[in-house]
Amino acid sequence: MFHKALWMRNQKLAAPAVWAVYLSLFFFLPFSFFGRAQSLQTQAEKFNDTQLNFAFHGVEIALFLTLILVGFASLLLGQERTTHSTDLTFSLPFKRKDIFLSKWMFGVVHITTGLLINLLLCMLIIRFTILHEIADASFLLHFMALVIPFSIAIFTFSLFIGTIAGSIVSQFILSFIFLFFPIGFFSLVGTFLMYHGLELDMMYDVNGRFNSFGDFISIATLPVPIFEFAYYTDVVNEIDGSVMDYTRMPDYLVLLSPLLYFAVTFPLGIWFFSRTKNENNGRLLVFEKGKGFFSVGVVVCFALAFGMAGGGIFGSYDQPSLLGYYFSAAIGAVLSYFVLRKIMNIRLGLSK
Amino acid sequence: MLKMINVSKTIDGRQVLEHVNVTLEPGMIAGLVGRNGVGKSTLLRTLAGILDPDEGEVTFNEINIHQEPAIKQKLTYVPDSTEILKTYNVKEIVKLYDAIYEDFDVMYFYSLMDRFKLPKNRKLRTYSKGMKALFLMILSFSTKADFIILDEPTNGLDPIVKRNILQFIIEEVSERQLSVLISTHHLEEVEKIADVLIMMKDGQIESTTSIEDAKSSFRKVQAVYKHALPEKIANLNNVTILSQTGRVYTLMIKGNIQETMEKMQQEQPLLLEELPMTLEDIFISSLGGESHVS
Repeated sequence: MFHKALWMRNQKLAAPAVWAVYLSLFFFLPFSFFGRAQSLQTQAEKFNDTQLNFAFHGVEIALFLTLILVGFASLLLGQERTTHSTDLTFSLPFKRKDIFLSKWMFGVVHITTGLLINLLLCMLIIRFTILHEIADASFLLHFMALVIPFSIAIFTFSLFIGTIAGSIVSQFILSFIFLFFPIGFFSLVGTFLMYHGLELDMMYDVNGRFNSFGDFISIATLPVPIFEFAYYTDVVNEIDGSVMDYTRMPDYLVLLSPLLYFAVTFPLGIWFFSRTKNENNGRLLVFEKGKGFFSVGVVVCFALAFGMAGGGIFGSYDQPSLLGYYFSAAIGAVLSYFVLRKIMNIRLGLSK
Repeated sequence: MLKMINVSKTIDGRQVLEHVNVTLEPGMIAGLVGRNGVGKSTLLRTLAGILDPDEGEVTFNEINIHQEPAIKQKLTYVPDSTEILKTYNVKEIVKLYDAIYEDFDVMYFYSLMDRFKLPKNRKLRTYSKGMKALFLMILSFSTKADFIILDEPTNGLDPIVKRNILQFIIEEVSERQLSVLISTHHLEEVEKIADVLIMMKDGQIESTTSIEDAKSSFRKVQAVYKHALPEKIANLNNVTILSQTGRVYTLMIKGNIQETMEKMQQEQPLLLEELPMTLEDIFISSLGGESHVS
């Protein structure tokens, strides 16, 4: 299954993303931690300040990390479709399944290594700087347990999108849209129901462990639980400088989310990649068969989104306009239908 | 032996390949010719395992190349695009190919680089188009594959390099039972080096013949009659008018040559003479005139 040649090929294809993974994580984690340690040190020395505090929020890294992961997967897969170098890769003596697995493994190894190295460096910075006095590095272990599975799931998901998208641009855009699809779609449906007199109870208890239906949707939206991670320390006693620290870690059950995403998108990715239609490279989608379903979905979503925006504009603050909602929805549907029809036939390619 | 068995392929709702059957024997140079858009590149990309056939199969030494791609250790494909490895330098490509192909001959590769005077310490993107095409061909031959598929290989090459590379292909084939399939619009190249001519028309194989047979089954003649070309001759199925200037007709006869010539004589021509014939004449008469170029 492991082919050195495919590893070399992936290295060349995704070199910018590999650098981006290591450098951006270094910048957002150890570099940032060290900077903060330095400024706390200065604060303590110059002002004899005992009210030192420190905070780390998942949101500081989550969005950029998602961007890098999706970019990584797009460079590995979509880029080949856009530059027509699939003609080289697919003519080589390797099974398509092995080509896909090599891309997945290449990404996972670099993402995991990048996160592990940089989080370990953060731990060392906490251990050997002033941060040691106010922060407990074990919060990084919790963060590690959260961010690594979610990162692998986001990367796998984006790679899976790459098996159905026909170019680097469509893979990148569709990955983002579908990564945030659960939260986005339910807000669109919620608004639709509201306009028809049915309030979607976002606080409805689905499961005792999850506070509400809204929480459930958040967890089903892959990057969101990383956003929610937080750690901060606060001074409890100003005299002796004793501190209390707090870690807001989503319930470990949220790890079921990346597991489920992985269990679905990884085998599906292999399946689709093995049956890929290279003749449609450069197009929005690689497979002809899913186009109808995809188009209906896009038109419905755009209609709901336009309805949501337009309903508010046409109505008053407490009396949204149903007519305005449908009028805007119709505009959204018609516009998206024509734009999509145009986009579907565009073949995006570079220098054949 | 490379076989394409009953392969059909539809792209964008258009049937590009229609029940195509091709068999290519070892030690043979085959030229694939056809007008633009008839499916030559689709055929080659399907042979190389890049495209999946909707129907039928491609086998190399009786092994299905789509199901067992490992067999492609002995089958390489050189696409018409020269941009595929442009971000690599020569050393990186050699390392990559050495890792891919078990029999890749590094020494041989560098000897060919010297022979064709290609610079070794540069990125491929700095090569000219012709140099890139030549480089990809050298790379392909250095894999020591038994079968090489070349899609428009001489595009962008100057006449001297073109002559050298054609000579090189002939040498390789004669030395080690290598088979080469060349898709090209340069018919004079096919005429020079190919043993077999495969003509494609509308997604189908129009004919597969040796160059000699192809030439012997056609005859190009110039005929002048007292008035216009007699209807008896013009209506013959095997006679195509290549050109007409006044009462001077250039005709191509396909098959039944002797019989047709006798019929033409019976109509008492003022002039009836044989003209030297090229593959291009056969191409035009078999695959359509200039007016339908797509």
